[in-house]
Amino acid sequence: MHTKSILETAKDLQSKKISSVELTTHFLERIKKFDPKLNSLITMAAEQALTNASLADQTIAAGQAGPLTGIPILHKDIFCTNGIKTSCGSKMLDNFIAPYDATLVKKLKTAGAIMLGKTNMDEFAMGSSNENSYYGPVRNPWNLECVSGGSSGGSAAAIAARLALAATATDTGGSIRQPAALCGVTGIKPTYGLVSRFGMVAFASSLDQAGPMANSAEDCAVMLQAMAGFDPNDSTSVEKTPPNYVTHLNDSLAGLKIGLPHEFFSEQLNPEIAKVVDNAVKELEKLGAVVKEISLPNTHLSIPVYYIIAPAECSSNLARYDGIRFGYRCSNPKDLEDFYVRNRSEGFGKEVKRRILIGTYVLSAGYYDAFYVKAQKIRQLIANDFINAFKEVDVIIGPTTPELAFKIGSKNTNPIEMYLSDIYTTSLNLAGLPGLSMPGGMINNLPVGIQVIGNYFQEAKILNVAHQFQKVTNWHTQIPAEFV
Amino acid sequence: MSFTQNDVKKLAYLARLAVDHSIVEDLDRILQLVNKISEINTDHIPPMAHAQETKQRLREDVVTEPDVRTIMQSEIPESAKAAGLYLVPKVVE
Repeated sequence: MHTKSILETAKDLQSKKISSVELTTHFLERIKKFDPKLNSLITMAAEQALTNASLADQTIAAGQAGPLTGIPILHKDIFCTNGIKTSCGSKMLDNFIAPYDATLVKKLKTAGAIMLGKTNMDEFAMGSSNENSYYGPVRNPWNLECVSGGSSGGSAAAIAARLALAATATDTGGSIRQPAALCGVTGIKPTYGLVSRFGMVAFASSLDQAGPMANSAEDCAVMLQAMAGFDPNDSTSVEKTPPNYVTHLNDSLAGLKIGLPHEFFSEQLNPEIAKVVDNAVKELEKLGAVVKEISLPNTHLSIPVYYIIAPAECSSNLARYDGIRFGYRCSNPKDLEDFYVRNRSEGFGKEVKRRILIGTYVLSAGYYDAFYVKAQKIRQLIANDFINAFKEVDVIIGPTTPELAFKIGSKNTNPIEMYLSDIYTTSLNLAGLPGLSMPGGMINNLPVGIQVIGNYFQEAKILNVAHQFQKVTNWHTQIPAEFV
Repeated sequence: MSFTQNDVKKLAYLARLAVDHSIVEDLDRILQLVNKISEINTDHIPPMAHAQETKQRLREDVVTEPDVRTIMQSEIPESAKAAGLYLVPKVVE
C-alpha cells in the first residue's frame, strides 16, 4: 500500500479495492513501527485521522471523490492546525494549539486528504540539518547516523521511509529542496506567492514559501494542484489561476533548452555529485532536450545576502513572541522586563537567537544602509542573473546540494559550515523563483538531489521535466532497506 | 570588523534576549560572511524588497470574523488572565 503513487492509490480507493480507513491504519502502524528510529514526527493525530478517513470513505461511496480523497499525508509543524499542537520545532510554541487552520491545511482537508500528524523541523525553520529542533534531530532513513537535512527534515525523512504518501513543507532558503535531496525524495518550492502563507508560522516573509514533498513529481503535481491558488488572507498571494499541473506532466521534452550554470559546478561541489548531475542531464538529452552552458555570476553572493535579509525579517517577525498572549511563559518573573527577556531566552534555541541578533544588528541605526539596503540591491542583481538566463533557456539544472547527507553533530561547531549547505538553493528564494529537487543517483548508499529551476510560475514545466526523467529512471522508487 | 561584548549586550537588550558570551564568536563569523557584500558596487541598483510586485489590496470594511476572544484566550493558563484580560508582572509599584 505504501509503494503506490497517489493516483494509483486513489484508483484503488475509488474502485473499493481498499478503504481509506484501511489505508490510514496501515500508515499509522508504519509510523508507530518506524518513527522511533527517525524522530520525523512531533505529533501524531491518529484519532482525528481515522475519523476523517471514515468520512472520506463516505465521500468515495457517494461517488464524490477527488484524487486526494482518503489519501494519508503529513503536515510540517509550521502550519497551524485547529486543535492539534503547532510547535514550529520550538519550546516557545510547545504548548501552542492553533485556534484555526492554515489556508493550505484547509485546502488539503477540503480536497479530502487525511492528516496523520505533524512533522519535525528545525526551530522556526532555521537550519539545514534538523538538529535545531527542540524535539531532537531527525535521522536520515538511508543512514541513521546522518542528518535528514532541514528545515523540513521530518517531512523528507517520513516520505523517504514511506510513512505517508505526501507531506507539506516550507522553503525559505532551501528547506524543501535540501532535505528532499538528502533523503532522496521529490520536493518543489513554488514561485513566491503561489501558495498561501496564511497560518504558516512566519520566519522571513519575503522568502517563505510552502510546497509539497512526495515520492515522485506526479505526486507533487497532485498535491500542488490542491495547495496553489489565490488567498485573500495573504496579502502577497498572487491573483492567478494555477494551470493543470498533472496534464502537463506528459508534455514532450523535445527541444527543451536546459541551462547549466557553471557557477553551480565549482570546486565546492563534490565531484561525484557533479557526475550524477551530468548523467541526469544526459538522460534528458536522450529525451530531446538541448543543453547550453550559462552563467549566474552573482551566485557567490546569495549566502551573504540571504544571511542579512532572512535574519532581518526573522528579528522583526519573532518580536511577537513575548509570552503574553500565547507561547512559553517563564515562572516567577521579577518584573515586566525580566518576563520578556526570560520568556524569549528560555523559549528560543541557540540558532534562533543568533539570527535574531544578526537581524537586529543589520536593521539598527547606522548599519541599515550598509547591510540591509545593500543586500536588497544585490538581491536585485541575483534576480537579474536569472531573468537574463531565462531569456535563453527554459529550465536551469544543477545539483541541489554541494555534498551528501553528513553525520549528525559534524557541523555543529561553526554555523557558517551549515549555512553553506544551501549555496545552490537560497538564490531562488531571493529571486522568488520555483525550484524542484528530485533524486538522481546514489553515492555510498546516500541519495543525490538534482535541482530543476524554472522561470516565474513555470511549476508545470519543472514538474514535467522531473516526471519525464522519472519515467526513464528508478531512483525515486528506491526505498531504504530498513523501511521496506 | 567584529563585535565587542558591549555591542552584543546592546543588541541583546534591543531584542530582549539574554545570551552568554560564547555567542560573540559565532556572530563574528556571520558578520565576516555577510560583510562580503561591502566589496560589491551597487550604485544605481534599486533595492529589491520583494519577489513579486504586489499591491496592497483593499476590502470593504465589514466584519468577517466573529468575536474570538474566548478561543484566543484558551492559549494561556487560567492564572495568567482575569476578566478577559492578560496578566503580566506588576509595572507600577
